[in-house]
Amino acid sequence: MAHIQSNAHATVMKLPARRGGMPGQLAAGLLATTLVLGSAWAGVWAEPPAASQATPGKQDLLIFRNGNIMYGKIVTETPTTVRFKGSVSGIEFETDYPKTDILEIKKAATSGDAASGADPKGAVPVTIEPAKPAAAPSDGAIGTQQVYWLDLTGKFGEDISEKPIRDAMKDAKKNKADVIVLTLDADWSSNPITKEKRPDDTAQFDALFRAERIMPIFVTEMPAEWDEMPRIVFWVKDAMAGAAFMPLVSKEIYFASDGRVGGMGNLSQIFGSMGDDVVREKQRSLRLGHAEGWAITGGYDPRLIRAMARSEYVLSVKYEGGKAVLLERMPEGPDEDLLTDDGIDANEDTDRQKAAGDGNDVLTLNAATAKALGVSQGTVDTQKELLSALGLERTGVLINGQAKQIMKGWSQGLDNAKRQIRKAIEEYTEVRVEAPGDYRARSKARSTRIRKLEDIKTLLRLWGEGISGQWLQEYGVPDLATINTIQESIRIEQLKDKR
Amino acid sequence: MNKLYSAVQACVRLAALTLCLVISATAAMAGDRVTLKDGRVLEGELVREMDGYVWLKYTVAGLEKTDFFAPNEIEKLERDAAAAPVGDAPVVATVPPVVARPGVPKAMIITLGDEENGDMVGVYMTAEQLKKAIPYLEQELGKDGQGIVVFRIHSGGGLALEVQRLSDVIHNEYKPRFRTVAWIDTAISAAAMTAHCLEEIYFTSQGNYGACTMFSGALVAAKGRSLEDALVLMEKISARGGYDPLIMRAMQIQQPLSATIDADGIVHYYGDTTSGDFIVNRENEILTFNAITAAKVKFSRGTADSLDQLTKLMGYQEIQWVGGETKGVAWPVSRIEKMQMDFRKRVADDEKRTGEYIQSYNMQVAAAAGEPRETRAKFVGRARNTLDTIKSMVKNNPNFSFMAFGMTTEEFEEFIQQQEKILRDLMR
Repeated sequence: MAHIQSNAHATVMKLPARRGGMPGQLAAGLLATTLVLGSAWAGVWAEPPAASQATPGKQDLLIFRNGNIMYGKIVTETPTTVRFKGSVSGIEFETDYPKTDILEIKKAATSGDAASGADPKGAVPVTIEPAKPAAAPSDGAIGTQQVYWLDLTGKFGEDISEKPIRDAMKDAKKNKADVIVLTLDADWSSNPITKEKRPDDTAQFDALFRAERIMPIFVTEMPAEWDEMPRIVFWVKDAMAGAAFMPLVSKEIYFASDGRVGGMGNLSQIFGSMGDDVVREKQRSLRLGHAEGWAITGGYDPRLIRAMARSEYVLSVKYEGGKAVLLERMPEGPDEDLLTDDGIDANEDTDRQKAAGDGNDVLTLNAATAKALGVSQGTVDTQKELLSALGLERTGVLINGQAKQIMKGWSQGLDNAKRQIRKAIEEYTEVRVEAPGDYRARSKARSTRIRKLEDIKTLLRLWGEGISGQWLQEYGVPDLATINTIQESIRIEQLKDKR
Repeated sequence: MNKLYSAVQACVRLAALTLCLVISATAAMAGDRVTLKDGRVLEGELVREMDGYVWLKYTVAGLEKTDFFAPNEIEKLERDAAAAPVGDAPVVATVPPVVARPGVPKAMIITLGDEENGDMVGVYMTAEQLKKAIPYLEQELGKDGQGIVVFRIHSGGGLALEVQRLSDVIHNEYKPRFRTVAWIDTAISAAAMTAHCLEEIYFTSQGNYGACTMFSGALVAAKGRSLEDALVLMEKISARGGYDPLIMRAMQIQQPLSATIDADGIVHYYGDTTSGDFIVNRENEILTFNAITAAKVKFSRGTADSLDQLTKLMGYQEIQWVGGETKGVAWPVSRIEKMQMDFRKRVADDEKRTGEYIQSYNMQVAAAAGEPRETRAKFVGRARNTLDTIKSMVKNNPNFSFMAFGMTTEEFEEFIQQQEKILRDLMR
């Protein structure tokens, strides 16, 4: 027993790092606590599909298009979503599922249903009606434009994530949106309590790769799925780091008066002095290639991206016929304005400039510069102003879609999932072999641990895209493969246990 | 090769692990048969049924998968139907071949890498996989050289060792058979080096291509002989594609580059930033093209974001794209493309779980060794199953022998035999 423990522990420490990174040390810790149990338990090998962990009985049943099934209780139902309360191995959850993901809903039969000869399992089929588009205004639909409004707030990559946005776009399609307005106000604060905005010179260029999981929704998925693409309009309030790339895929960007796009200005410093300069340059080059590509998609000059990302890049501008003409050099006349200097020696931004947000080592677009450079179509501060700027003041009809519920449901569900994961880990580590500590008690304890791990796996599968690697590390949450390994170690211990 | 570092790290770590492996016969699938309304007939094992819904485990091109079908998709369900020989042909769709329309060329999109599953050259994009597809491509596109293969490339790079192999398959096997073109979504490092043997390259608006500097470890550049090998290799591959070698050189090392377009529209390159009319790559930088810069120097034949746009750029009014409509995919998905997609899906799962396989195997063998002979079988059985999984992983993608175990294919086979012996000995 003892040598197996130490072997297993040592091997876990050698696990290769994986995407989404699991802290080997913490995983090893989990495994170590597992092995303290040491003895056998039978009958848990077969990891049943998640659904079979619940008792079918008199519960509602959801059959998903991907083959998953889930028993529980339908809390509420709208034309487009089902709010569902279920439990996975004892851990309760409540979340919204878009009906587009569901193939069939079978509601639990009441006693009356049973008497009338319904399915003995208690489930009766319910036909899913496609969502009905919002009713056209009574003054006539001719010439009106259906406007779908989606507020993107909260942490980029967590609250603002691909699943809810994709769901919202599906909802917009169902509602026959002509125009989709996305207000972007991503939380770029360092303090979760005060929510004080970080200054312009704080940057995180590599959040680009998180954004690249979202932007294809607009660039490739929607064109493939919509017969006619709607107008996509971004209204920028705060779009820093990863969020900064999102509006670039749209040809129509508007700024709020205090709106800004930036937070990608650390590309030249991103690798410090690690390795050889030629490789650091390769890394910068490929990143810039990605970022420039998204700007080109939206019809923006990729040189602006370079100016936003690389501190040594010099860019000036002059205006001809009201249009910005970019010049890759310092200004040479009074009709030219400097956008970014080379940031070297005397040109390096002072601390005061950085604090005030008026440095020019890298470019941060604000409402004025964005408008002058042709990135922003205009500066607006209210919904009415925006609709007016879009030419929709009279013809625009706001769709009564599910956008708010989708985004709110996702954020709440995410918070709930994080709580449940933390709880499951806590409960996992607290599992003890109860007196008298015999074979049955040891088996029960192992069974409980495997179930807790299964719960964590389910939550990670459902909500993983919104959970950051930092959070996982902070709370010692292993990745799926590591959890599988830990489960296998428990099963082996169970097999080795003797009555 | 920006991912070379992590690959090497993984190899070193994993090679250090003690492994024991086993062979057991691949479990034959039971003979259940599902006839679908779309015409497909799938044979395998019904692993679950509920209210008319079925979950069928079956084999596609040697790969095991489980799919879920709703009652309204199923035409007929036969349990324990006599299994028909499957052979190596992919059991994907028995869709009748597309009949060629006179004067309209047939074409097929093959994706190399994707965001969801994986994009690493040598892992998700392999020469072997491309080679396997050729007979099916010939069936669909014909052998008269009129068929078109479009490689839609989405990759951030990968293993240097695969570049030559991929280039050889594309240049020697594909180009003589089909009009072969690249449609670049993202082709970084080894992916750009792979596409570089193609004369005809198109970009999407967000396309990027370049950054081919070879490195290992903590951003340590290849130097000396290994660097020269890479530069010479790419000079040869540049010649295959008909590109000035300075272009790729500027993507590999900090080679300044400028260009002039003469009155005939021909682009002339210079290895500095002053001789040409405009700068292509600045001093001290590494070149990555975007759609605009690639088009400006005519490296790209044009920018297309849809099949219609690509069709026109390729000089056609109409192309008959082979494949069926698939949700969320902007082009028809053919059975060969489905093979690529399934391959990547399987590889992604294996890549994520490699550590788990090895860990589990180690634990199972250690447990068996710690048991008396009479109770050992159950542990050895589990170890055998895990070893089968490892073997299947390498069979699906032989590059895993290097990636996961730091071994050549031959060394891996030998290693498997050793592990099988260990398991046999445990049962003696």
